[in-house]
Amino acid sequence: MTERIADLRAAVLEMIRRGADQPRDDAAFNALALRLFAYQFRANGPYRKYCEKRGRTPDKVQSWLEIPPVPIAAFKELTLTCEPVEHAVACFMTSGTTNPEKRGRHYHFTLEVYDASATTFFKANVLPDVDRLRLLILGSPPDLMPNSSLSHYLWLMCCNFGASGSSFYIGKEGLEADRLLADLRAAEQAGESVCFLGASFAFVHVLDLCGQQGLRFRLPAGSRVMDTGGFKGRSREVPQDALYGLIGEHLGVAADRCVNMYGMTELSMQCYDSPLRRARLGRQEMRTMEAPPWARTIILDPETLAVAPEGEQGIICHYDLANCSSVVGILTEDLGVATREGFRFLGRVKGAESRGCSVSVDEMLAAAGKTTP
Amino acid sequence: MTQPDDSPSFLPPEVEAEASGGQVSPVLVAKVAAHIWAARKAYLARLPVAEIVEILDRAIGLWLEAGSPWLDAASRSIAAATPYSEAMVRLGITRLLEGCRKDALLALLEAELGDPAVLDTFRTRPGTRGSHRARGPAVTTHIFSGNVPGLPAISLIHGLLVKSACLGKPASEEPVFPALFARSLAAVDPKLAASVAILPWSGGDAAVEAAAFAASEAVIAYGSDAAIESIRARVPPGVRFVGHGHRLSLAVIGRETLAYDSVESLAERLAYDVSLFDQQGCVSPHVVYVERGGTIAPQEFAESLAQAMAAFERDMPRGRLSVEETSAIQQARSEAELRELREEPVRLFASPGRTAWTVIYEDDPAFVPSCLNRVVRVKPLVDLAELPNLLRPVSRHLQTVGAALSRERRDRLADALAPLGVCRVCPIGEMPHPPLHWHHDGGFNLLPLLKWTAIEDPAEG
Repeated sequence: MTERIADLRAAVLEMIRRGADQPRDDAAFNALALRLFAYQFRANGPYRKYCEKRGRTPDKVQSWLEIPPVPIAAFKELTLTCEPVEHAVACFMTSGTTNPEKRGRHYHFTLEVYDASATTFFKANVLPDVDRLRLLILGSPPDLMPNSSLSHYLWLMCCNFGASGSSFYIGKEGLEADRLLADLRAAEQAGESVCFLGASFAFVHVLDLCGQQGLRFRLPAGSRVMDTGGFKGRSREVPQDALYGLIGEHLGVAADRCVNMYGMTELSMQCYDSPLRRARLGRQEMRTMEAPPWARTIILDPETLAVAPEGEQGIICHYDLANCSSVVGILTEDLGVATREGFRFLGRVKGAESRGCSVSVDEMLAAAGKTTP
Repeated sequence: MTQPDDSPSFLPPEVEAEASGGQVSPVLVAKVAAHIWAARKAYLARLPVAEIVEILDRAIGLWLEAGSPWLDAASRSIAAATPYSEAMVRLGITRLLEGCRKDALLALLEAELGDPAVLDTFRTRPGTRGSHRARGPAVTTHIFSGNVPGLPAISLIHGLLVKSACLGKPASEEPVFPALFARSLAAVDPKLAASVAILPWSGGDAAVEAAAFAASEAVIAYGSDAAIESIRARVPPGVRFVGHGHRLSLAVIGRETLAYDSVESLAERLAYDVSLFDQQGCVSPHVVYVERGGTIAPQEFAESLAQAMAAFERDMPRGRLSVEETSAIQQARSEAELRELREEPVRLFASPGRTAWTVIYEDDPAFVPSCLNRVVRVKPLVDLAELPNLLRPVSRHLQTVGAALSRERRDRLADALAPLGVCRVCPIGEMPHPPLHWHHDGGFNLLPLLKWTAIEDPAEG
């Protein structure tokens, strides 16, 4: 039985179209995950070898939990696609913060599934109450960053949900602070609510600027903030709570209107920690990340790579059915803990340190980083 | 009589009540230092060095006798406090202290001082005019690391041999051994032990450490480069400082020593060097270079090493790791596996199901430090002559080279690697156990602690 990728995509799209609030159907998820695994096993040579080495082949794997997840480093080392790369319509690349010569590549052969996945869950988490809002985007448009999945994502949201006046504020010359501050002031004075969204580190720059200039905006009711991604080397590190504190102080947007998005180049879905969604569904207010119904996130014991006992820290692992033409299972380098509704992201796995006078590779890299400006 | 117990402190009885509150203050440190200073003046400073050697040897004997309650207590408590298994702690401490008996103590004194009696009185020296006497610091502060249980004994021995009162700060990860060792000294000679205090304070506490350093004439510290730098910057001018920071070690196997009848034993000895204390020692090898052209190919040797690592793991299981440490192993493994899948010349040998041990064979000869905890890389060498260039990038940190080479080639390699900072070349299987008289990190152990006084005779006309 050989399935065509078009049929698989159609099945995934059908699941996505049932929306963010569809009941979790584990049987349907499992069935589709196994179909995708069988296809990817057949169509992707390096992945097949990876699975065969583990004795996990489509004839033996009964549950999506047995599908071997691929470490994200594989996107740097191998070409993980099920179709010839020359047919790709997009190639999203990781930033290569640690090694610019080794960037992970995620090829997409149509963006239909990615776009449906991203917009459906964005709407449910960031704009559950409105159809369109003016988007103030702390990011670069895709023509400046053609290989950035975040730029594509932000562009997508701008096209689908942006009211007139929506704009990107990071251009060729970096942050266009004057224009941004003027637009924030204008929106405040016109009583026009906005959605201010973008990279967490860029928020830190803007908030530092507000602090230096003594600026305090009171963005109109209905406004909201969505931030995403880490700080690594891009700005000072700010804990999420402190960031929300600064947003409240300088933008006048309360923490219960601040959404945090978790996404990765290697995935075709995003997870959200959204008080707006929780309020609409009447769920208990507790900071937690939620994956869409077409994905599952589990926490693995780093020692055995088996599912970690509940409440214990481990490595975050995603199964994303929207990853039709790459790999469904992704083993991250992120640390997390499972919650009832999803998971909590605790940060990137920091390098291992030696306990005394030996020296580990991570310490060497850290030391080398210090001496090179 | 003094008995082994678990308390991480060993203090003069006069300050014990004050110290029992928990918080260590600069005032407490100053009082402790004053007490051990006075005890030294009254007794230790007047002991002939030969007697100190006898006392130390008797105390170490307590640890090595059959059924020693000291070794039992240390192994049990350290295994509970650190990631290490009891069996490994027991083996490590035994091997370490076996190297600190009377003959080794005398060898150390003679190697560094020639005539150890210069510590007792003015002595004439052949070839010099007049006589000389060496005096150790009145008080030495020791900052211990916790990676190798038992190691604080060496530092205390150095201090006591030069008749210095010793104020020791145990590592937070291994707070047990230093106080136990001090108590075993007290069991042999309470008056000598009155010159020793072990006080756990929180590492880097600037006010407390300032008080300790101000009361000392020397500071000896073990730890990461960052920790050593931080301490060095705070040691006042005029106070002698000896720091042992990050070091990297490796093993080299020459083609002439690769033979079918001996490879198994060689691999076993190397697995011991890698696995003891989970590679956390500065003497633990990160990379094994194997020369091509022998009866056994480098990749075959990697396979033998993997089998030996598995066997060692059965006897001495690796310790518990943090999520970061385990993840680092998983990442190193998946990187190797992915390169294997790309059909690069890489082979991954790994303990199944768990992260207990990992051997990565790769053709790329570049030196890569390990993520530690029993992860070792085997790399081929066309010829030993390549080695200096390969090691140059890490030369600042190089320390021990375990070598399986003919005597002549070993000596030539040592010559070539010495300018890169390699300060010890030893047989495979002995990497974790340098002799007491070794020039640790390339320097003397006792001499940096000493101040000399000379009496010059009039020039003879």
